[in-house]
Amino acid sequence: MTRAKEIKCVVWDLDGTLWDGVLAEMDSVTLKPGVKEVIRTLDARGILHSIASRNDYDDAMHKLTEFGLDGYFLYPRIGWNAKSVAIAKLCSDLNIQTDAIMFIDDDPIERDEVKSEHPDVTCLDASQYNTLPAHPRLNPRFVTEDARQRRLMYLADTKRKQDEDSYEGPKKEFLASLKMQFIISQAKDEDLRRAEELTARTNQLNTTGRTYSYDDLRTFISSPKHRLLVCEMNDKYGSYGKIGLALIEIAEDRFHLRLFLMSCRVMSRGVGTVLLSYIMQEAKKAKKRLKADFRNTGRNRMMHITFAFANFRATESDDSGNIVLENDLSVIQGYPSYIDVQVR
Amino acid sequence: MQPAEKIREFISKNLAVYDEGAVFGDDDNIFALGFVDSPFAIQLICFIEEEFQIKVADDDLDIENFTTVNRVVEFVRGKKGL
Repeated sequence: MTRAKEIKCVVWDLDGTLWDGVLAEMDSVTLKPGVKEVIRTLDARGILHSIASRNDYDDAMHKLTEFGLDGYFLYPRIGWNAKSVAIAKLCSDLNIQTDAIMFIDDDPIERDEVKSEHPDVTCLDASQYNTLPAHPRLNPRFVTEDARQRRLMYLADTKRKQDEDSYEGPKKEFLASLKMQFIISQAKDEDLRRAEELTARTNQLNTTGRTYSYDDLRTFISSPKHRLLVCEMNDKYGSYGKIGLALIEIAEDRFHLRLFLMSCRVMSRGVGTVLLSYIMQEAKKAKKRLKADFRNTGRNRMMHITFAFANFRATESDDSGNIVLENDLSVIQGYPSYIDVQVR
Repeated sequence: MQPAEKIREFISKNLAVYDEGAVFGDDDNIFALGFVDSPFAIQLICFIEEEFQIKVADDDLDIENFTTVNRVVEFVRGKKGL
């Protein structure tokens, strides 16, 4: 069941694509009919928008503001660089992979240039813009509250990053200034759509890369043999939403961590280690052993490192990259003072 | 700079240590020094790989290799066959 990955961001060219005409050459350009609705529709589904355009930055942004569209585009790249470079930079800013990008441009030379550098990017001719809402990879099965808020969360995060970059004191002091709250709770029915979405969207901070459907997850929350934990985080800039998930299978003698993932949104905050500590404490309290699955997906080395530094050791492995790790629970790090951890 | 110095400097700069002015020895456990979270762990692995031009393989991902400055130095030496 290899479902094509969902597109997370649509990158728009401007001249001849978003609007008719060439901004630098004429006084007035007009938006393509219906393009605003296309953008709003996708935005409401949690799909992000950005821009890669050869134009003067100020002129183009001014025009977008006039059209009431400026707030919709994250990290717009308007300048004179190659569009493949713009897209590479965007992927790093948004922390997504090139295969989650759709690029729409009226110029076949630009599309070819992007395609030659990033074969995974889906490129579309501008004439296709009206078909976007019906595109299968732009139709997430569910639109969660987290998805609806996605663009705003990215904007809050931009502010966060700017402040972090300009902060000059010790790291711990900065972290303390964020007033982070990390909330761990048993997943409830209303969390499951988002939980499903997390299993589908999270690649880098994901221990196995397994995806679970709403129905699978629903079975787990009513099963006495499983615990499904969901984590939420907020700080003084606002909410990060539901950003972590752990599935624990409870066997006679052990807790077995089948899935453990964190959204990239909180990658730099170290909360994965906090959740692992919590699970280790719970296993110890229940007098059980603690095992965990790991599968090398080629993208999730960070999770392997996270496990290793939390004192997990590989005990079994097979030829297809599946590893079972065990933690002897001899050393469990406490929570850091700069995160307020709440268990509900 | 000697490898041990470089590693010590990296740890003191990047770990959110409990006590900012803390002085620590090459055999002090870094887990006692601050909260060793995954971003730090990842930065440390990248630092070791780039600074000393070695590859940390999956099998090397064992906490024992990284708990003190001296352990990391030993690990790097072993990898470089020194």
